[in-house]
Amino acid sequence: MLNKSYYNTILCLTFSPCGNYLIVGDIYGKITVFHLYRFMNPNVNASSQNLSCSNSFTVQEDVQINSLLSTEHYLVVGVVGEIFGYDWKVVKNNKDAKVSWKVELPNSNDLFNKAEINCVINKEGVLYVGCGDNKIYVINLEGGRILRTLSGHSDYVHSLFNMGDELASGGEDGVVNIWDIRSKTVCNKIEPYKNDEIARPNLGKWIGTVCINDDWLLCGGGPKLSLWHFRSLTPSTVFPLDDQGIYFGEIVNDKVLAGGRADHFYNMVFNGDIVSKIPTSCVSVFSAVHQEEPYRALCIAGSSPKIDICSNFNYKDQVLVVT
Amino acid sequence: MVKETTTTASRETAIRKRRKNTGNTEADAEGDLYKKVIAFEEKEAFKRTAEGDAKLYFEICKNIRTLLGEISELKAQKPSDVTTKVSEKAMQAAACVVTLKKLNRLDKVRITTAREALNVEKQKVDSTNLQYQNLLYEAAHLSSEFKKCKQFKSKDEDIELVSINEFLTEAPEAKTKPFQNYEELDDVQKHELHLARLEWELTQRKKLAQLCNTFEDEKKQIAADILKTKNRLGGLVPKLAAVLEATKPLQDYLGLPIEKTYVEHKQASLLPNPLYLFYSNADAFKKVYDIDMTLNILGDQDEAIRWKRLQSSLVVQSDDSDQENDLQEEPVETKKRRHRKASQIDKHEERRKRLLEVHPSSVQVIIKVNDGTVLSMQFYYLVMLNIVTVTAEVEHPNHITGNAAKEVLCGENVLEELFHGDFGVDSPNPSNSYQLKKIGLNSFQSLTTTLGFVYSWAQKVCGLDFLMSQDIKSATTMSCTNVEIVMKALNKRLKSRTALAVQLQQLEQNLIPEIPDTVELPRNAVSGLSKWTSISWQKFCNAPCTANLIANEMVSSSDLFYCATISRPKSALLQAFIVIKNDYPRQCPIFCINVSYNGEFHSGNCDEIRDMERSLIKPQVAVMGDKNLKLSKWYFGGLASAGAACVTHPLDLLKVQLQTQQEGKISLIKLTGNIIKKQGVTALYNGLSASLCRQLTYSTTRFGIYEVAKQTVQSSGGEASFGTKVAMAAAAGAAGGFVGTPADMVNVRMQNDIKLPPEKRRNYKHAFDGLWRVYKEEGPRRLFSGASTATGRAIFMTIGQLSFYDQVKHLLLKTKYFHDNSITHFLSSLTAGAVATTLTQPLDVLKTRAMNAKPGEFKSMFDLILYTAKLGPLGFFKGYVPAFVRLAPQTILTFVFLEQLRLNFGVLPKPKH
Repeated sequence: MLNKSYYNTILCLTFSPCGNYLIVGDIYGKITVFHLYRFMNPNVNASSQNLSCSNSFTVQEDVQINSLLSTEHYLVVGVVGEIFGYDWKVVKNNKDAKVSWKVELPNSNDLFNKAEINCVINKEGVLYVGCGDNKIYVINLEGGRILRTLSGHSDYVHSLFNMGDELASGGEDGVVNIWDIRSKTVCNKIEPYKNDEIARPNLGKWIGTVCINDDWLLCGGGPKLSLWHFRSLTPSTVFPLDDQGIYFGEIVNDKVLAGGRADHFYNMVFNGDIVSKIPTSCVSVFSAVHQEEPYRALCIAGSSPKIDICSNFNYKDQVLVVT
Repeated sequence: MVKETTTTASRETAIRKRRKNTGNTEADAEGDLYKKVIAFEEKEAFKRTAEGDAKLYFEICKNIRTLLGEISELKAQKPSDVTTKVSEKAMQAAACVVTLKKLNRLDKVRITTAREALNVEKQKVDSTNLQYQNLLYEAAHLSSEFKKCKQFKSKDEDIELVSINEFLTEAPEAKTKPFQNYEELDDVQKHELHLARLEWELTQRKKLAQLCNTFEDEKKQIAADILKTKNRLGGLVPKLAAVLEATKPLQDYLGLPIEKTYVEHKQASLLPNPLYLFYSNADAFKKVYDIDMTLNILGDQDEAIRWKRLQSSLVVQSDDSDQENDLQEEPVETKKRRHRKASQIDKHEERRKRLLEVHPSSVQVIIKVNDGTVLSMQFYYLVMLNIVTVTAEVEHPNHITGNAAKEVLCGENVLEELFHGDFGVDSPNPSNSYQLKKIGLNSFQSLTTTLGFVYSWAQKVCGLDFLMSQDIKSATTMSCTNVEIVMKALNKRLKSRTALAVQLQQLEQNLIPEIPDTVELPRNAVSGLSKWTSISWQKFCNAPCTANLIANEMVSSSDLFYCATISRPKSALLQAFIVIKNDYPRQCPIFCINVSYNGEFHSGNCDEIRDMERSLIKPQVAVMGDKNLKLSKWYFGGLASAGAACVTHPLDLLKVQLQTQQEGKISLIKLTGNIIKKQGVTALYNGLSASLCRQLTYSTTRFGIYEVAKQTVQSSGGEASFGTKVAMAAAAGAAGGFVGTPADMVNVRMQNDIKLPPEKRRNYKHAFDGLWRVYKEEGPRRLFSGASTATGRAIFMTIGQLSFYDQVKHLLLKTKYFHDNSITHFLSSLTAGAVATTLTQPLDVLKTRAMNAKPGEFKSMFDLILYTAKLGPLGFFKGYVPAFVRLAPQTILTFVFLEQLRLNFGVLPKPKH
C-alpha cells in the first residue's frame, strides 16, 4: 500500500560480507536487498531502474526488524524475541526466503514479554545480543545455544560494541557498562547523564550508541555525544551538535561519525571540529554503515523509506527508496 | 519557204475570192472548177504518200539548186546565148517551184485531214474518260453504301437473351436439336440459332408478363383484404378500450399492475438503445436483489415517439445527406462570404445544438438507504455524441444539517470516482473530443453543469464501450454484468457516504463518537475537539505539514479535505488535516498532524507524529471494535450446535418418546417422571454421544455450506435477498440432512431404547458402536434408511432456522430499537425456531416413525403417511409442544453460541484493494 510505504522506517542496515550488497530492514518486517554495483559504479548510468532493489522478502509480517548482522555464512536478523539466520544465497535471490536457523530467546512465549533484539554483534562465532529485556545474551552460532546471560542493565539495552576482550553496552538506563568478556563481569561503568556538561535532562538519560577503540570511548543518546578517555573514563570532548538525541555514533580511524534526530549526519574529528555535515532525508538517523572495499560507501537511513548514500563521506550522492 | 508558199497561197485564194466577187457570172463555173480542183487535189493527196512526196520534194529542191547553179554559172561565163539558156533554165526552175507548190498544197490537205482525224479521236478519248470517271464514282458510292449497310444494327441485338446454354437446356428439344453442338456451326446456322433463341425469348416473356398480371391481380386482392381487416380491427379498438376501462376497477381491486407495467414497457421501448439496455438490466437487477431502488422513465412520450420515427427515417438517409452537406457547404462559403459573418453565429449555434442534442427520454434511478438518504440519478443519452450523461441529486434525511456533511452527500460528490480515476468530466468516447473541437469546445468539462457527468461506468452499464467493437451481443452481456457491479458499488458508496456524513455531522456539532470499551484510552481527557471544518485543496496545500504528502502524490485535489483542531487550553494545539479519498472506506483516510507546542511539529520534523500518522493509516485501526463485521468460520455452526445439543438432549429424548407412542396418552411430565423413576437422571442423557455425533455431521455440514455460500454472495457486496438465502439454506440442508442420516438414526434408536422391553433393546454402547452394529447387522444401506425424509426435514429445518434467522435479524437490525447483541440474537432465533418447528413437524413425525420401525413394518412412505393420518391432521403435529420446547432452546442456544463464537473468534473480512 502506498500510504504504508510512505510511513516506513528503516531501523538497521548492513553490507553483505562480499561488500556488493546493502541489506535493509524496516519496521514492516521486510528485508530489502540492493545491489551496490548498480549505483556505485560510475560507469553505469543511474537510471531509476538501477535504483530499484534486487530482492526483498518478509521475515514476519508487521514485526519490525530491529537489527541486522552479517556473518560469513549468514545474515542474522533480530526481530522481536527471535533471531533468524538466512543463508546469503537465499538472501540475494529468493523472494520467499527460507530461514536457515532460528534462536528463540527465553520468555518469548509470552506475547507481551517478547524482547526486541536491539543489537547483535559477532565475536569469533559467538553472538552478543542486546535485548529489550535488559539483558545481553551470549549465543553460540553453532547450535544456537544460549551460553550465558549478562545482566547489568536496569532497562533496555540499546547498543553494544566489542573491542578485543572488552564489550561496551549502552542502555535506556543511561549506563555504559564495560564488560570483560573472559570473566563475564562488568569491569567498568560510566553514567554520562550524571555529568552536567553532557546531560540533557529534557531528552532523558538513555544511551543510544556506544563505540570504543584502544584509547577512546564514544557514547551519546539523551546526553550529548561525548568522547571519553577509555582508561581514565573521563570525558575529553563533548561534541557541539544540534540534535535531539543520538542514535548512531562510531569511531572510524581518527574521525567520528554521528547521527540522530538532527537535520544532518556529522563527520567530525576528535577535538569536536566538524569535518562535514550531510543533510539527511529522514528526521532521525537510526542506522548508518560504511565500507571501503569494493565500493567506498556510506549509507544512512532512519525514519523514512529513503536511504542516503555518500561515496566520499562529504555529501549525499544518491537516495534509494524502500518500497 | 513553206511560209512563203502559204502566204502566196492565201494571196491566191484572196485573189480568187476577189475574182469571185468581181465576176459573178463566171463564178459558178470558176467556183465549180475550183471546188473540183480542191476535191481532186484532196483525192490526190490521199492517193499519194507523204513519204513519196517528201522524196519528190527533196529531188525538186535539188533540181532547183542545180538549175540555179547552172544559171549562175551561165551568168558568169556569159555565153552568147545566155539569156535564152537562162530563161530556159528559169523556166525549168519555175516548173519545179510549181511542183513544190503543188506538193505544199497536198501536204496541207493531208495535215488538215490528219488534224481533223485527230480531233475526232480526241473527242472519242474524252468521252471514254468521262465514262470511266463516272464509273469510279459509282463504285465508291456503292462501297460506302455497302459499308453503311454492314454497320447497321438490327434491333434484336439489344434484347437480352437467355444464354445459349440455358436456352439449349430449357427450350423444347424440337427447337434446339439442330444446334446441339453450337460451337461448330457456320454463319447461317448461327443465324438460325439466334432466331430460335429470339423466338424462345419471346414466348418466355409473354408467359412472364401473364404471370405478372396474375400476381398484380392477387396483390390487389390482398390489399383489399388488408383494408377490410383493418377496418374491422379498427372497429374493435373502442370496444377494447371500453373493456379495459371496465376492468379497471377489478384490476385496482385485485391490485394487478397490468396497466402500469404495460405503460412502463411502452415507455421503455421508446428509450434509445443504450438507455433501454440499462433500464432492462437495472430492472432485472432490482427484481433479483434486495435493494431499495426505483426505476422511472422520464421525458415527453410524444416527443420520444416523434424522435423514434425521425430516427428510423434518418438512418437510411444519413450517409447521403452528410456528403451532400459537405458538398453544398463549400460553394456557399466562397459565394456568400460576406453574408456568412452574420449567419455564422447562428449556424454555429445550431451546430452546437445539434451536436449536444439530448434524447427526449431519460431513465431515473432512485436508490434509498436505511436512514432516509435518497439518491436519484438521471441518465440522459446524447445522440450525436453517443454518450450517456448522469446528473445526480441526494436528498438528505432531516437530521443531517452540517455543511461538511451535506457536502459529502451532494450529488456529484457521491458519484465522484466511484471507480478509480473516473471523474466523469472527460468524455470516454474518443471521437467526442474531435466533435467538440468542431464546435469550439476543448473538453466536455464545461458542459457537465448543464448536461451532467459522463462517468465511464455510466457508459458501461448502458453497453457503450469505446475500446471494444460495438458488438450488440457483447454490449448486452457487458451491460448486464456491469449493472450488477455498478449498482452494488453505488449502494455501497451511498451507504458509506451516509455513514460518513453522520460522522462528519457529529464532528461538526462537536460530538465525539462513542469510543468502544475495547479501545484503551485515558478516561479523563484534558484536551478536546475545538473545531471541525472542511477545507479547500488550496488551504490544504498551504498547511505547513502537507508538503511531503503532496510531493509523494498521495493526495489529489479531488479528495475531500477536513481540518480538526484539538486543543489543550492555553498550551497545545493539534491540527489534523484529514484527507478522505473518494473511495472511502476502501482506502483509509490520511491524517496529517501538526502540533503547536513549544514550536511547530509535524511528520517532517518529528518522528513521534510520524508514528502517530502511521498508526492511523492501518486498516485494522479503522475497523477495530466493529465486531459486527466479523465473519464466522465454517465450522462454528457445528460447534455451536453441539454445544446446544448438550443442553437440549433430555428434551430431545422426551420428544422421541412422545412421538413413537401410538396411543398418545402419557403426558410430558408423567413421561419424565417415569424415566427418572425407572432408570435415574442419567437416563435422560442416554445417547448423548449419538446426539453430538449427529450435530457434528449434520449441523456442521449445513451451517458450513450455508455460511460459505452466504459469505461468497455477500462479499460481492450487499445483503443477499431472502430468496437467495432460502435457496442456499435448502441446498445446505439437503447436504446436511443426507450426511447426518446415519448418526440421526442411531440417535433415535438409542433414545428410544429405554422405552422398549428389556429383551428387545438394542443396547448400543455409544454412537460409533451403534453405527458399526447397524452396518454389520442390517447392512450399509440400512444406515441411510429414512434418508429421504431426513433430507426433506433437514431442508425445511435449515430454511426455517438459518434463512429465517438471518432475515429476521436483518429486519430487526434495520429498526432503530435493535443492535447486534444477544437480545436481537435471542428474538431472531426464537422466531426461527418457531418457523422451523412448524415447517418440520409433520416430516419429523414421519421420520421418527420410519427410523424406529422394524424392518418390513411399512411397505412405503405412503403406507406410513396413511398410518399416521389415521390419527387426524393433528397426528402430523404429534409432539409439537415438546418439539418446539426442544427446538426453540436448541435453535436459540445454537445461534447465541454461534454469534458469540463469531464475535470472539471470527475473522475480519479481508479488506479489498
